[in-house]
Amino acid sequence: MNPYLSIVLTRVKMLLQYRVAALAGISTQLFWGLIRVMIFGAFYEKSGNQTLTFSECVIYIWLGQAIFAMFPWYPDHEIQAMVRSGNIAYELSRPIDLYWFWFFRAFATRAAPTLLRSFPIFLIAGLFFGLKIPSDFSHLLGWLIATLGGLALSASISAILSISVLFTLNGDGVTKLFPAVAYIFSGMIVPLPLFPESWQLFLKALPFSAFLDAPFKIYIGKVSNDEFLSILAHQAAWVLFFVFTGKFLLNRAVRRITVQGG
Amino acid sequence: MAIGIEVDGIEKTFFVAEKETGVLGAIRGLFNRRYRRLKALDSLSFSIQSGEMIGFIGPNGAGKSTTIKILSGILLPDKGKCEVLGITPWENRISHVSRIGVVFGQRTQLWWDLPVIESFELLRDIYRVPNERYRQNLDELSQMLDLTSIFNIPVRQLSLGQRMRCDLTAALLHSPSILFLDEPTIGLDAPSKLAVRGFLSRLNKTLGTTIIITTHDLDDIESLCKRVLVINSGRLLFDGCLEDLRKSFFRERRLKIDFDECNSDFHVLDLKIVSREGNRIIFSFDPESISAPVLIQKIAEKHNIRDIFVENPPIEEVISRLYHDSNK
Amino acid sequence: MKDLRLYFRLVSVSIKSQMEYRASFLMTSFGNFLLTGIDFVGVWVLFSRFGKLKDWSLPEAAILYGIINMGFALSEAVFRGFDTFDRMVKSGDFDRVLLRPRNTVIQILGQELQMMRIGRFSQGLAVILWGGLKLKIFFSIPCLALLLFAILGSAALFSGLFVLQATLSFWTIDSLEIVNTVTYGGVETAQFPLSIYNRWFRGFFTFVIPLACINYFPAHAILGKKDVLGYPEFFGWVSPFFGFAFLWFCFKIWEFGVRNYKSTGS
Repeated sequence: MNPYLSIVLTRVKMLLQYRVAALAGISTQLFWGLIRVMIFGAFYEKSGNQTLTFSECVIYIWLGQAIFAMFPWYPDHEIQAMVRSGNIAYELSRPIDLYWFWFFRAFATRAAPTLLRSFPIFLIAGLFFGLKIPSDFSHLLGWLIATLGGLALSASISAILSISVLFTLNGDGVTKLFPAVAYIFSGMIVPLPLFPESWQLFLKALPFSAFLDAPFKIYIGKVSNDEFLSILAHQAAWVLFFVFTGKFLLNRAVRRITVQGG
Repeated sequence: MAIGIEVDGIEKTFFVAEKETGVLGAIRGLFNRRYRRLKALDSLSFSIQSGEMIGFIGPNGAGKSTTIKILSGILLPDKGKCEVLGITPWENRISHVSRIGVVFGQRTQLWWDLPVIESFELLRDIYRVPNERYRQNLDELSQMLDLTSIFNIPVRQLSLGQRMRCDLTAALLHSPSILFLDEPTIGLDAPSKLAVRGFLSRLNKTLGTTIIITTHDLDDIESLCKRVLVINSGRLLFDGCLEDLRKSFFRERRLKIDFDECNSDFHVLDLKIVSREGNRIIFSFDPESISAPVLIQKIAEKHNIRDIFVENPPIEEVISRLYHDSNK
Repeated sequence: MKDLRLYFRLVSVSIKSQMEYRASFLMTSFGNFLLTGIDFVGVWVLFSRFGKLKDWSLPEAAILYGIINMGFALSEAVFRGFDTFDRMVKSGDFDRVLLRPRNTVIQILGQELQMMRIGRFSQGLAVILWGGLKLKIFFSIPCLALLLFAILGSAALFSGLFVLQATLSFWTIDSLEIVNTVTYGGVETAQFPLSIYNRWFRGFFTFVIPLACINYFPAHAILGKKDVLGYPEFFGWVSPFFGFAFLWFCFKIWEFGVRNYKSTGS
């Protein structure tokens, strides 16, 4: 089997074992979604006339909860532990490209819990809490494709977070701040359309709109075919950017490790 | 001598949750967990005099650490009586634990980022040791264990041997009358092991501290303990000195002979061959049915012998046969 | 009294070891400041888009936000030992605590006073200062006193949740995230007035976990606001007490947990 495919499959298998964690995660996400829906409902009560309608806002919230586990929350814990204990040299001794090894590991780490958690959240939120399923199947498919792109973006950012640990040892700085920035500018806290108008262009250009905001627009069918392609191009451009930056940084780090002996 | 520890018929059963396999099993397990009963101690009784040095051995999962936990008052037995220095350990935790010391070989009780001496001072405050006694104890201990040079090093930078010596000191600063040691020599190099053993036997002789060691390293036991308690599956298998253990469970002796020539035909006496390496052959025999001199004479009649040793089988073999038999 | 001295002794040791890694401490504190401050950016975005939340203005909401964040930060710092208690059970360090002749709670609290939580604390402080100055509530001593009472009460309430979470880890380590949901969900919830939520939710955070008592009711008293839920204003002056009562109750459950731990092992 292709080594990278094998990495993804073993990690998915491993992560699927944490079923209790998944159950806890699902209930957490439902709880948070409910709080959010109530908060936004109260805000909308007085001035409902917005670019984003309330029922769209509810869909936004639930889609966000469904893909919550997909976010590049932290670097790979195993890599962090290896750097700390000095065992990182073993990673270098594998006969495959280290960058792609870490990339696919991150991909699997994000994909497995998302897969496991998003279906029940979809089901429950769809049945009881106002998450509408698009009537046009192509919108759902488009959303799925764009979310997959978001997953790739998440993996490329996670890989950079892991690589940054090689430079800072404990990785306290970048690895904590970057996810926070990603969190708010993805629309997870407040949907991006509700941010001030003057910010919109900037928010759209940032890579983080590719996680939730862009796929959401496809989901509710507000996107033409051309716009759909430009969303995918935006995602691809950022993924490429992070992949090349990651490869560059990793090469430098590896050179330093092999020269200084870790 | 006074009785230090009296254990009378203690029993302890744990309930271990069974992991079910498969997704359905996991979901079922969330609501309706199945438990397996695990009898860790099965009416265990023994008594230990003050000032004794006891080796406490048994295979993994035999109930050693359960027993130690009960004796140190942090676990309650389901049944049975237990008195340590006249009181029931779990009834008055604070006064009980201030009279005992516990050392875990695998874990340190020192503060990782602090210099050794500051950990000691903190423990002095925790145990409320009067300053004068603290200074006296620290002087004595650091002399015996040769610690003075490492007082100002943070614990995380100590070698394992240094750390163990510091942990021993830490456990003894409040002059406990009983010291429990859990694998005190695990992972240590040979000189450190010898240092720890030397210290323990001196401690036992000079201060009369009762010492209870659980270990898998039988050299510790052989060099330190006159008396061993062997347990398996929560039952006491043996209580006595090592020699008796050997005699009652493993009567055979070993005869190691170097022959002049490599001969394949040694079956003359129906001796069991334990191992064979070139010209050296190790036989085992039962000293009750044939004495060593007679045996040697018989062999010497037929073969040219270059050298002879008579040995006891190594204690490891005795113990593992004991475990093996008791599991049947 | 002697236990208090031991607590300060242990805590000073903990601070000393955190200061061994000064750069890391500064980094993580600053990170904590930004990370938790992002929540307020969200609140600000919402108010700037919608203007008002029912009859609440942004400076008024800032009081709710400040109380809950300062209280939670205090609790995270002081009750860190209970927050990470499951690790203590797993590693056997809790046995070590039991093997020492001192109060167990003091020893667990003394384990760590997590200094980097100053990030969230100062972020909450900044927000409440801004809101308070806009509303001119800092010129009244009783208001200030009540504010302090509410912050301490909320610290006590969250500490109670940490103790509860720790108690749960005597039985299970898998489902601790459930308590986490309530803890962090509670912080999120209480950043907005409780009156915006539906009935069962309000009931849960008033009568099961008295979150409303440590921020919604006292905020009304401080702001001189009329409660749409109909609770009298004077209640806000005493209600933070329920935060402490909750903590006391959680310690009772904790004691039960310790007894159970001693008789079943782990």
